[in-house]
Amino acid sequence: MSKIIMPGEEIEQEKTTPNYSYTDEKGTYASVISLQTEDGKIIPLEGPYQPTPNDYVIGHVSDVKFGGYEIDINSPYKAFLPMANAFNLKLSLGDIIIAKVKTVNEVRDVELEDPRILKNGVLIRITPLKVPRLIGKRNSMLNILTYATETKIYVGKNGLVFISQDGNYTLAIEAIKIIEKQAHVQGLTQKIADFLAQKTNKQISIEDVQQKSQTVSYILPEKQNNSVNYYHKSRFETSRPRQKKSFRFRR
Amino acid sequence: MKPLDQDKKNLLDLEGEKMETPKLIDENGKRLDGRAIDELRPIGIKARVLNNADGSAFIRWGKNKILVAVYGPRECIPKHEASPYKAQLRCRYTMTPFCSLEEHGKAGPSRRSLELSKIISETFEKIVIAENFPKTAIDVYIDVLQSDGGTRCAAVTATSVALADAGIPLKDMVAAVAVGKIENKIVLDLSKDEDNYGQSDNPIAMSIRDEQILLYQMDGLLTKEEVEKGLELATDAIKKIAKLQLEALQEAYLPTHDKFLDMNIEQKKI
Repeated sequence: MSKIIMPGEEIEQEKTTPNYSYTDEKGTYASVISLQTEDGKIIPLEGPYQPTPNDYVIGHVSDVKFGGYEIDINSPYKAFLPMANAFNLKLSLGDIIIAKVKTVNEVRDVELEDPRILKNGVLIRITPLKVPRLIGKRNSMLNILTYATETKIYVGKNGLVFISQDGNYTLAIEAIKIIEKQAHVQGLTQKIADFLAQKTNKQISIEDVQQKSQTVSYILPEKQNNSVNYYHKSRFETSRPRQKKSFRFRR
Repeated sequence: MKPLDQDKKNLLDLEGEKMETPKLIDENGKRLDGRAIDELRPIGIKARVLNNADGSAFIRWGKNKILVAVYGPRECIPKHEASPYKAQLRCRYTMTPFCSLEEHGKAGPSRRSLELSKIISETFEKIVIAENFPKTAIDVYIDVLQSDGGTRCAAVTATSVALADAGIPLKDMVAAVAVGKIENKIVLDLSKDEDNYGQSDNPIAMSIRDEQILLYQMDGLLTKEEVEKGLELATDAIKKIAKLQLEALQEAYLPTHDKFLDMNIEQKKI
């Protein structure tokens, strides 16, 4: 039987996640509330998002500064997106973006790169540590969700989930809330598949859906056609039309 | 130095008042509310009761009702308080104006609430692994909704649950209980009347695994032997309270749990 353990409870030294445990001379102990599985594995259940390089995170523009944008990424630390990394995008306050964490230094200054704007959708928040459960093994959970509700879902490692408003997005939100609450329950993918099948009157089998949607990406929306063309266009628009040379001499 | 009792009597004589002390322990060895000498009041804890806090807990300890909310780690404001080495832990303890028959001020910090905020912050400074979150602050808001003696012990116990619920890394869990002396006997978990008319009141907070003393306040005097006896009583009681804390945290993950602040949660006699 897997069980929930408190901070300070002793765990085996070999199978620990170092971020969520505490070691002294006598032994190793859990430092956050976590789930101990039958084979002694420790899965942390709660905790804020700690920015790590190469994570794709979702956030919104919370401030516009001289050198770039300040992005709120649902973490104790705000991230900075320099203008140089986003020169082909024009962002304004409140825009939702998905971006990659480039660097994090020892005082947790976070720098982002490769931003893309997310439009026409809703943003919901789940506990960051439950993101792996929402994705599932080889995207299985997300494949089922998108197949059943016909939405596009983008998941940030920081626990923010963006759902496009094309399909039945309210059902998707409902299902994600269930996944967050029961993340520690075994056989959850099948449970969610049954739940969605009942609500949408579709026949959902996990393996079929998995084969159909092998190429879907839940991180990157299509590249927005920007880069070179957009850059020249904008320059063209802003530059003043050349004036005709006219020479007049006063006499 | 004069003994304290002598001092008290002199003061009372000056004011021309006589303090009528009720009989705190009867012939059968039972206390005012029918408890034995080494018996705790019934306790109930519920974790995760608030929707918008990162972690929260509600404790019902005898007639005490205390709500604790934890926010953070979040951006430290004012910024000059932030440390590049660790997170700041800021506890704020307040007694609501309606929490007891005595007046507790309309609003704002009083001398008492400042003291308790400070001691609770210092209790948890040794427990929270704050180095994981530099430049941030962890805010703990403790509100006493109803009080009947021993609120600081109940507050420490509930804060520990709320911090664990928020996912803040802790070296250990903490629980607290008071030990006191009434009618020359060492007793556990004093209520308000026993605190007011008794001889001594000692709130003790301990870490559960390695039994380190994180807080020991002494109001009134005890001999060395009495302190040792009190500590023994407290360590036993704290182990029992720890079980309730674990149960409360486990209950938060059951499908039947809902985020709802129920004032009349079930209390257990332990």
